[in-house]
Amino acid sequence: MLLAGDIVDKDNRYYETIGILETGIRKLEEVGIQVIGVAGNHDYKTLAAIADEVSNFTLIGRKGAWETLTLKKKDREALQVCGWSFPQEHIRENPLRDFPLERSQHLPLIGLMHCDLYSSESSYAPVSIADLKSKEVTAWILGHIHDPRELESQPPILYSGSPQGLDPSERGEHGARLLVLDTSGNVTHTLIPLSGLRWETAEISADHIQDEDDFRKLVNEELIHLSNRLDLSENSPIAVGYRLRLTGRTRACRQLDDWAALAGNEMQREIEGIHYFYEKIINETKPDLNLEDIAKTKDPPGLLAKKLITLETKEPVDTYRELISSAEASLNDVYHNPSYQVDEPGQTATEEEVRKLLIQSGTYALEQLIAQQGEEI
Amino acid sequence: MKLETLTINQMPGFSQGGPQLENLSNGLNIVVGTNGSGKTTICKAIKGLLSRESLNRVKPVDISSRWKEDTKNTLLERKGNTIRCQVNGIDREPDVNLPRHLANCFTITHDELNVSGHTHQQLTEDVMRQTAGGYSLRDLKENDSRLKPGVKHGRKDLRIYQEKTSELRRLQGEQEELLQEENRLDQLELEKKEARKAEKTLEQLRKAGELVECRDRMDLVRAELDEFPAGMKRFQGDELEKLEEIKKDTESAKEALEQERKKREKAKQQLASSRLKEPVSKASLDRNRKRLNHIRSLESTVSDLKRRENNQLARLQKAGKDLSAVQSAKELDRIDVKKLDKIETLYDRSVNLKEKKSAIAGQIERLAGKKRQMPSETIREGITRLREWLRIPETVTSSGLLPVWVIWICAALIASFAVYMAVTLYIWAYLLLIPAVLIIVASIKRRSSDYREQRDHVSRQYLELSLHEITSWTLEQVQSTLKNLEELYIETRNTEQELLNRERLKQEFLKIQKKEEEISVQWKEIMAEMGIDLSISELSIVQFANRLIRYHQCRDEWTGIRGERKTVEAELSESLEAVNQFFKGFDYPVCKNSGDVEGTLIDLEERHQLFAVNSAILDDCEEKISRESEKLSEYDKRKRDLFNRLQLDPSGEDILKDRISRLEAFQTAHQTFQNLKNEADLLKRQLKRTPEFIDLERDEIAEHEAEARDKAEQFNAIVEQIEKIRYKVEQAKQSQKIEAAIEEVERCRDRIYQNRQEALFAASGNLLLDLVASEYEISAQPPVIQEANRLFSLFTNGRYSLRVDTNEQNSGDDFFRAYDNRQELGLYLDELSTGTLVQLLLAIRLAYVTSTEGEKRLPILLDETLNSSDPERFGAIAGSLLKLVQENARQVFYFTCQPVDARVWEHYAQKENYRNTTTINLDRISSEQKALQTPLDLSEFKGEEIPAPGSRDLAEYGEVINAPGFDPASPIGDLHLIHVMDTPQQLYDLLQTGIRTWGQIQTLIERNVTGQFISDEALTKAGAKAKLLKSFARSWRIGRGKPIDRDTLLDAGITQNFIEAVMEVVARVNFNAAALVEAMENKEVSRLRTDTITSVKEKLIDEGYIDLKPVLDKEEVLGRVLGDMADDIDKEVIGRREVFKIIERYWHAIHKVA
Repeated sequence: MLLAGDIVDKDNRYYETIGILETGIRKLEEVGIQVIGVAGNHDYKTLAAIADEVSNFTLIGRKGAWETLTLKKKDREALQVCGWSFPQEHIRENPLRDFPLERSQHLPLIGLMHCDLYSSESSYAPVSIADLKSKEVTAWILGHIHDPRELESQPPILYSGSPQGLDPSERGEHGARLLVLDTSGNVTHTLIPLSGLRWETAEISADHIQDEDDFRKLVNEELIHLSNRLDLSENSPIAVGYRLRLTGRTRACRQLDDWAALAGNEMQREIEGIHYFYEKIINETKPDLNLEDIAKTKDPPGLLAKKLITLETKEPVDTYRELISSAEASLNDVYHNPSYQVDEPGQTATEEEVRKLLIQSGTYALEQLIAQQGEEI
Repeated sequence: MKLETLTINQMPGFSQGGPQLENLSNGLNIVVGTNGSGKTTICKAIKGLLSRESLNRVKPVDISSRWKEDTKNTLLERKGNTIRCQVNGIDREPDVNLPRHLANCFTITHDELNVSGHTHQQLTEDVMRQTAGGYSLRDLKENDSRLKPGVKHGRKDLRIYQEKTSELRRLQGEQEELLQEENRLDQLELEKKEARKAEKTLEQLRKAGELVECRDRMDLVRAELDEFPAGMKRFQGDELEKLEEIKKDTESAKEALEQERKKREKAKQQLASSRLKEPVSKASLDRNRKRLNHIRSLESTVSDLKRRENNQLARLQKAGKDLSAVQSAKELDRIDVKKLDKIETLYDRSVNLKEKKSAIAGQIERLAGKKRQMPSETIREGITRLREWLRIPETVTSSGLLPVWVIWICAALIASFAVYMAVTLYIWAYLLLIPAVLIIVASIKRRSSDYREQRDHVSRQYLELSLHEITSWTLEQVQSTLKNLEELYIETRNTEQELLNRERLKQEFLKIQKKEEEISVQWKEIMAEMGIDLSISELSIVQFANRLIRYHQCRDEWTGIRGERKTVEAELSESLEAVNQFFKGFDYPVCKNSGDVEGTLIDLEERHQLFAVNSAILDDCEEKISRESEKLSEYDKRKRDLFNRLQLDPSGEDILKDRISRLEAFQTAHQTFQNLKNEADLLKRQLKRTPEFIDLERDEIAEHEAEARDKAEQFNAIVEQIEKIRYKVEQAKQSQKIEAAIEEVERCRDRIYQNRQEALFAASGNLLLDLVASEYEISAQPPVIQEANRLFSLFTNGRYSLRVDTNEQNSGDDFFRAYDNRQELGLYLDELSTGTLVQLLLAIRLAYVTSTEGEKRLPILLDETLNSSDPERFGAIAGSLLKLVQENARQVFYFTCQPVDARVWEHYAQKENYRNTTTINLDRISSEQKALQTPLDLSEFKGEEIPAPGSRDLAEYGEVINAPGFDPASPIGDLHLIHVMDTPQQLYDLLQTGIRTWGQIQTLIERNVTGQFISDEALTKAGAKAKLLKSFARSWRIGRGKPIDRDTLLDAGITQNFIEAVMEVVARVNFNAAALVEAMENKEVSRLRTDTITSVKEKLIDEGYIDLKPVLDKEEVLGRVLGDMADDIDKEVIGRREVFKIIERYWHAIHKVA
């Protein structure tokens, strides 16, 4: 069993996680499976501590020095694993610069590493695919990115991903990778789904929603569609959490917030033994208003509609810029308000965020304004 | 643009067709209709025609309308979202398409013009709002929760976040401490080992101390042992007892020896008295005992045989006597017994045959004389002929039908052919008809002659049999004859059977005769053989034969018994001889019978017994004597050995006693010494690892001990400390506290982000609203203000005009002032009367509409605007609108549910001298439309006509007009006037004008126009009665709660998912809220949560649908009503007695219904 780092989160890296991890490693020991790992930026301290405690776990590449381990099968050398562990939380250099490796040429070699492939400026061991490919390694198993993904097929370079989607945005199948080495030294790999809870997201149009019944029908059917789409008959998790994004234009735009909040709790189904539920229903619908028509008048709704058109089209540019800059000023007050500051002092909104906020709140205000004159049947 | 006709084909609520409005006025249109009759739908339909955006999500929509503007006739139709416009018959784009929010501005509602009690500031806001078409930015900014977050928004969540963060830090700090403690574990383990070692040293030292102690005690015991004489170790302590025992044994052996010697002498004497030299063998005694039994048995057999022999002899002699008359005994013996048996058999057969013969002779006799007239076969033949005759059919039978038909069809074909040929070709072809007819005749004749011939033939056959003559061959005659013949046949068959039987019996009779002859021949032969005279009767011979057989039997039996007796007697004498031979050896006399033998044998057995017993005693005594002698020498040896072992002289018994008395003390001292020695050895072994401790002195040990104790005492504390740390680590590994705390912090963080997002939303929204507000300034709207000013002057007949000032002192805001032209005085808005204020608001709204609508003058819709208006407001609005329509510039629609409002409008129109008013009764339109759709059902249409009361009293009239009863649960406004009017005529007058309920009268009172409809006196009385019934209803409702309805339940928290199920229960419990709650609590509505039921219940109690107070009885109700009515009674508007009567009547009526 190879662990590619960040097995433990830094915030609770001590006993609470050590306990669980230790139990797991000991269980593997009972069935004769050796565990080899490298440390990531989150668990650079913790894994070392566990490796000292548990005999079945070998941490390789301590102190940021590459290390190779030769594994035997039936008393014969069969495989080599080389690895590098984070010596501290932030590593801005490419660890592959020190990749020395005197290796046995007749044995397959698996590279195990925790690194960031997506930014050369990263503080988490920046590495490039070209660097990885330049090394004579049979397969690279990487940690850091939670989504399981294959970056290269020959030689295989893959992020193993977390065994469980930690966040609803980490959708799809998660699990462990089974590497199979054949006698000629080729590696194939398959994903073994492990996650009990699977996340899925989707975006659908809510144009046709007129009332709560329409909405309930939609969310109810959407769970069934999801189950049909996923076809989890073979690798069934315990539960599937669904994040649904509603878009389009509907007159029920405002009520959707309330209905969505209620439905989030109520709409869950048991389909073929799997529990489907809504993690969140995000209402991004727009009210069914014809801004062009409203903007024809010079009354408050007309003026407001004009502003919204400006925000949406960014035309005329001067007016648009003026709107954004005055909004930035007043929104900065909110950002600097101590009641809303947590741990990112000095944060401000981007122009696009400001624009979106203005459109959102302006649309809401326009709707409320028009509602002052009564509702349609 | 004026609406001329409007047809609603389909709208929500009117899917089968809605109201159709025609002949609309181009001025004021008053649309009256009860709720649900379509007022609001008409309002929306007009909006939907003018604004494509309106109704764009509504289904179904199908409206058509006709509009007029100067010379332009416009047809506007809307189906779904498609609007079709035709102007003067030409399709084109509609002139008017208002944005939805603007379309709304053409509808003015009650709330918008209801400004009574508003301050100047509020009124300014109201006016501002109207200048903006009814839209208020300020209202939105100040009242919308999303745009105006609270002052403390987010603070609480921040505080919670800080608390949770510090909690997390605390937990992480604890974990850091634990980590440090865990690092100390190695050191502690070392200390623990040291302490454990010290503990062991302490233990060794304790043992060393014990060793020193042990050695001291050994010295003391050794000195004590030295004082005892030597050889004490050889004593075991039981030596005296052993000596006593030996002495006792010796004495008893001597005594036994003496006794045995005496017994030996006595046995010798007894042996001599048996007179036997050696014992008799047991086998010979047993053999002779058996012989004795055999002799006894033989003796008994002999005597039995003798008795039988004598008996048989007596029988033989008797049989001899019976035969002695015939022959001597010797002769009798000669006769062959077998032949005698045969004689008897022949005799029996002969008798049998004779009986059979006489029976057969009797039967033959009985059958003699039977004769037959003619053979039965002939009769049967006759019967067959007659039956055959009867079977021959008289007419054509079915069996002959087919060929006849075939012939006839052929004939018909020929005939048809003939006719055809004759008509088409040749007239002479008719001749072919002749053969056809001939064929038919021939076929009929042939059938008839066949049948007669058959019958003649059969009758001839019958006559040949010479049976009963048949005079005429008719059906009856033949059937009668047939019956007679059948009877005769049966009789003749019986007779023939009997004759056959007689022949058979005769044959048998002859056979018996032949057998008798055979027996007679045999009989004679035997008689001759035996020489018996044939003259002797057969019976005598048989009797003789029987006696002779008995004689022979007796003689044979006697001879047998005698022979047997002799054989047994010989055997008996042999047995006696053998026994005597045995006894001879013991000098006994000869025995003659079993008695002698038995006596002799018993004596011999006694002698034998005496000899055997004493021989055994003698042997035993000899053996015992020798054994006791051996014992005596053994005891002597043991005594000598005992003294030898103790190394004492056998005579030194006193010394022995002395040593034994000191032995216990010696042994105790010796044992103590041994124990101490063992203990010392053990301790030495235990101290083997620390040999240096073995020879330590006491003070040295104490010194070492003090040192080790100090170290050892720390052990427990160290162990405890280690365990505690390990436990804490284990606990921490099992715990989820930090995980949970992190989650809490994350949740709080999310909440703060959410708060910030809300604040950003509000800030950005407010920014936009502020920008819009700054752009939209009243003073920048001159067209609206000018038009408002013009309309305001128009509505107030030129008395007031509108002015806009800027308040320089107060932040430069615009504000309005009404200028009183008559007094030349500027007035703040709150200084205006309600009527003037309403006129101002209306003027501004209309001005706004005018300024935004473009060139077209579109209709203004007032939806229930004047409901519950006071007379001043009503008058002001009505007057203003009448002025507006008088300008002929605009069409106005006024929608109301109060039929009386139409009357009031007419009243004002008359006052303003305005004629162009149309009243539309939607209820009437609806019923007319229904009547048109279903022409047979005219009842509803008739219902509109009120019958005159005639001579009926109020109650009778109520039945005629089908007036509803008094329902105390309904609002007093719905009360039918029959309950408050005094006379049928008064009621009729009101009903005719469309006034049916007390609520309508109240409206008239509010409008101050009652005089036209009802006299003051009748109104006062009706008012008092209404008050009485209101009071009654209020009291009656106590404890009963209001009837529940759907909207209330929705408001109370029943969701759309459950409302249908709940309403089913509501209908079942007769709209009783308390019963509904009870039903819900009993789970009659499935899946409804308990907390929902509780909250619904609480709301229903709060809102009076469930009244927990006790119900009042009649007297209590009466008391309360009398209290309420005290003033009216005093003023003699209504009499006390009448109050009693009314209460009595309605109480009874309500409870009867219940």
